[in-house]
Amino acid sequence: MRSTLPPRAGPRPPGRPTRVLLAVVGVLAVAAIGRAAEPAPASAEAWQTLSLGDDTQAARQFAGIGASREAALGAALAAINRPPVTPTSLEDARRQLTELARTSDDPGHAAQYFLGRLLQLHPFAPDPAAAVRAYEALVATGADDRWCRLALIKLVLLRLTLVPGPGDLAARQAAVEGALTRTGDAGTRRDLHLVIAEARLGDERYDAVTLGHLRAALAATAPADILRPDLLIQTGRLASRLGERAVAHASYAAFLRDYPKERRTFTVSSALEHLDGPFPP
Amino acid sequence: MSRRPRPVLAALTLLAAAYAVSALYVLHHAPAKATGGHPPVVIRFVHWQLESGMREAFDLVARRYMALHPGVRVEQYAVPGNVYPQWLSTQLIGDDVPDLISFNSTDQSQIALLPRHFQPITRWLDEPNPYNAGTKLAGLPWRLTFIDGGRNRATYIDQFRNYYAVGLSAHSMRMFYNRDLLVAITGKDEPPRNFREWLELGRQVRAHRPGLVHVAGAHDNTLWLMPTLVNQALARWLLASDRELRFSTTSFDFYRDQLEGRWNLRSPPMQAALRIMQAFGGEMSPGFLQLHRDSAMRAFLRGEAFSIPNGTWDYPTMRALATFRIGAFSLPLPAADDPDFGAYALQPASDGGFNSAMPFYLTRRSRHPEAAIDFLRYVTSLEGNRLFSLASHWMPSVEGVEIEPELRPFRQNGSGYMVIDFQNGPMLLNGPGEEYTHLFETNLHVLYAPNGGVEAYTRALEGDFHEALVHDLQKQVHVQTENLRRRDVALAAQLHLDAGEQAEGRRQESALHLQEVQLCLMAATLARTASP
Repeated sequence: MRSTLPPRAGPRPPGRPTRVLLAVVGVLAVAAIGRAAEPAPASAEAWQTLSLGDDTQAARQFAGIGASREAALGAALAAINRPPVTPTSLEDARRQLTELARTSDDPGHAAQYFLGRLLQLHPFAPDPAAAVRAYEALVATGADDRWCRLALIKLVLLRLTLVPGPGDLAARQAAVEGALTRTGDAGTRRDLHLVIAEARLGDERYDAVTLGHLRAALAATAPADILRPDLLIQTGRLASRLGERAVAHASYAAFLRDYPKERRTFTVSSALEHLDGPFPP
Repeated sequence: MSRRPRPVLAALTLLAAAYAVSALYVLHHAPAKATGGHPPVVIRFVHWQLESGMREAFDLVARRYMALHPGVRVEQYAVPGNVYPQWLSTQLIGDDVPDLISFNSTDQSQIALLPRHFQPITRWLDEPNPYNAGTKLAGLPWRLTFIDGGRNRATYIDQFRNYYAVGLSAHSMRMFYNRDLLVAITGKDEPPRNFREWLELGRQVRAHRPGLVHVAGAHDNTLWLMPTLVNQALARWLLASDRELRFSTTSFDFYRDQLEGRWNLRSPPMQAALRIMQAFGGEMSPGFLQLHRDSAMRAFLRGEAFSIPNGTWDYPTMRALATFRIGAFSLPLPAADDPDFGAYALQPASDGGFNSAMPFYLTRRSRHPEAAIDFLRYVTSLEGNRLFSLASHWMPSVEGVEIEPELRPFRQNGSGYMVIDFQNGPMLLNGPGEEYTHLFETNLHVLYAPNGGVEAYTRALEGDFHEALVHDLQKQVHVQTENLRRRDVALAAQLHLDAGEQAEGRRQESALHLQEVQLCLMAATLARTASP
C-alpha cells in the first residue's frame, strides 16, 4: 500500500545504503584505532627504515620507541637528511648530536663522529678544517671503537686532500702513516692503506710507498671483495712502472684467473703480454 | 509518498551497475582451479617493450612456463614507454605493483630509492638455476650463467652492494645498412673496415643516386653513437688521465687534467676528436640535428638513406617493416696510420664489455617472490632465453645460448681495449653536466655549417668552456656530497642491524672512503683552479 503521508520537512532518517556506508566507516575507524594501539616499532625496524633512506618514517619510528640513548641517536641521525634539509633542520640535528656527545659511550662517540661529518658535508657552509678538529678530538679519546676508527680514516682522508697538516711534505706523510699504528682493527688498517694509496695515486705519487700501501690493502682483501679486481690491476700497473716485474706478473695473472668475464680482461692480457716493453704498445 | 531525488537514484543505479560489471569481470577472470583444487599462483610482470614481436615473445615463454607449472598463471603488462615512468611511480606509490618490473635508470635519486620498492635477489643468484640441470651450465651459480656474470650498472647496485635484477636480453649500438643497396653500389656485401673506407663508401652512396643519403641521421641517434666513436678514437690519450691506474679513466680524472692545464680545446687529440665529429656528421642527412629518430627511421626504411645508427632494440621493428635485407656493422675506427684521425685510438676497441639488458626487478610487495624468481630463472635458462631470443629477435643474455645468424653482427665485442670507466667515463659531448653539454650541443651547427668547421667550432666553445666545466664539476661535487651524507647515515643505521647487515655495511663503507677521496681531490682541484 502506498503511503499518503506528506514528505517530512526535517532530516530524513538514514536509508539502507547510508547505514551500510556508516557501518563500513565504523569498521575502518575501529581498525585504524586498533592499528594505532599496536606496540611501538622495535628499534631494529627503525634502524632498518633508516638504512633504506626513509628518514621521515625512521624519525617517527624512533620517536615511538621511548626514551633511550640509542633512540635519541637514531632520531638525531634521521634529522640530518630528513626533508626538507634547511639550515634550521641541520641546526636541529647538530643540537641533538651535541647533547648526545656529552657522554662518552657508543652513542656519544657516534654523535661526535657525525658532528664532524656534519661540519665536513654541510650543504650550505662546509668547514673541513673544523671537521678535522672534531675527528682529532674523537681519535684522541683512544677508544678504538667503530666511531673512532671511522674518524681516524676520515681524518687521514682530509689531511691527504683538502686540509694538509702542518710541516713539510715529509712531516705530513709521517703523520698520515702514523695513523696506522693508532688502531688494532685489521679492517680499519686495510681501509687506511686503501685511502692512503688512493690519494697518493690521485696525486700521481707512483713510488714504492704507494705500492706498499696497495700490496698491504690487497693482502687484507678477501677474494670475493668488490674492490679486489681494481687492487690487482693497480698493483700490477704500479709494480710494472717501478720495475717490479714479478709482482706485476702475479697481479695481472691473478686478475685474469679470478675475473675472466671482467670488461678489462683484454686490456690486462695485453698489459701482461707487454710487461717487458712500453704499454700500450 | 516518499520520493528520492533523481540524481541520487541515478548515482545508486550507476554504482550498482558498475558493481555488477566488476563482479562479472572478476568471476569471468577467476583463477581456474589448478591441480589439487587450489587457485593458481598469479605472477604479473610489466615492461615497456612494444617493439614488433616483443609481446608475442613474452607470451611464448610465459605459455611454456605455465605448461611446466599448471598451478601458476603468468600475466604480461606492456605499458607504452612515454607514460611508463609516470605509470610506474603511481603504481609504486599506490602499492599496487606487479611482481616483476622492468626498470632502468641512471638517475642517482631514483637508484637511491631502489631498496624501498625492490628486493635484493643476491641469495637466489648465488644458487644454481634448476632449469639448467643437465646442460653445460648445470651447477653454476645463476649469476655466472649470464654473459656479464649477472653484473652491470642496472643489475648490481654498487651503493647497496647487492644484486637487484637480472637482464633478459643484450644490446649494442650498430650502423644498420641496406644490404641490397651495398651490393648494388659496391658489387659486394662487405662493410667498410676503417673510418676512411667508411667515408669513401659515403662518397659512393651519394654518387649512386641523386638524393640518396649515406646515413639517416637524427639528433638522438647521433648523440648516442658519436661519443662512443670519439672515446674509442681517443682511448690512448684518455688512458693517460687514468691517475689511479685502474685501466678505468673517470670523468673526474679527465677533467681534473683539464683544470690543471694539461689539455685544452686546441690540444692535438681534442682537435682530432673535433675533426672526427665533423667527418661523422658530414655523412648525415642535411639538418640532422633538428630531426627526430622516427624521421631517420622512416628515411632508412623508405630507401632514401643507405644506413642508420641505431640500437639493436629497434632491429625487430626495422626487420618487420623493411622491404630490403638489413645488415649491421660497428662503426669502424680510424686506422692507426691515418694522419687526420688515427693517432689516438687503441685497437681493437671493445664495445664496453658484455652487458645484459632489459633488467627485471622483484618488487617488495610481490605476493609470490619465490614463484616470480622461478619464472625469471626459466626465462634466463638456456631453454627459456633461447626461446625468447628466437621469438623477439633480441640477443640472448645467457652464456651459451646460440645467437641466430642474423643477430650475430650485433654481438657485443668484449675482445678489445677498454680503458674508460664504464659508468662514469668522460664523454666529450655529454661532459660532466648540463652546462657543458649545452655548450657543445648548441654550437654543433657551427661545426657542420658550410662556412664553419673545426676552427670555428673551437672558437665558439672556447669563450665559455672553462666556466661551463667548472659549473658542472662544482654541481657534481655538491650532488655527490649530498649522496655521501645520505649514505653515511644509512650505513650507520646498517651497523645496528644483524651480523650480515653489519658486515655488508662495513664493505660498503670501504668503497665509500674511496669515492670520498676522489670527491675531495676534485674539490681541492676546483678550489685551486676555479678562477680562470
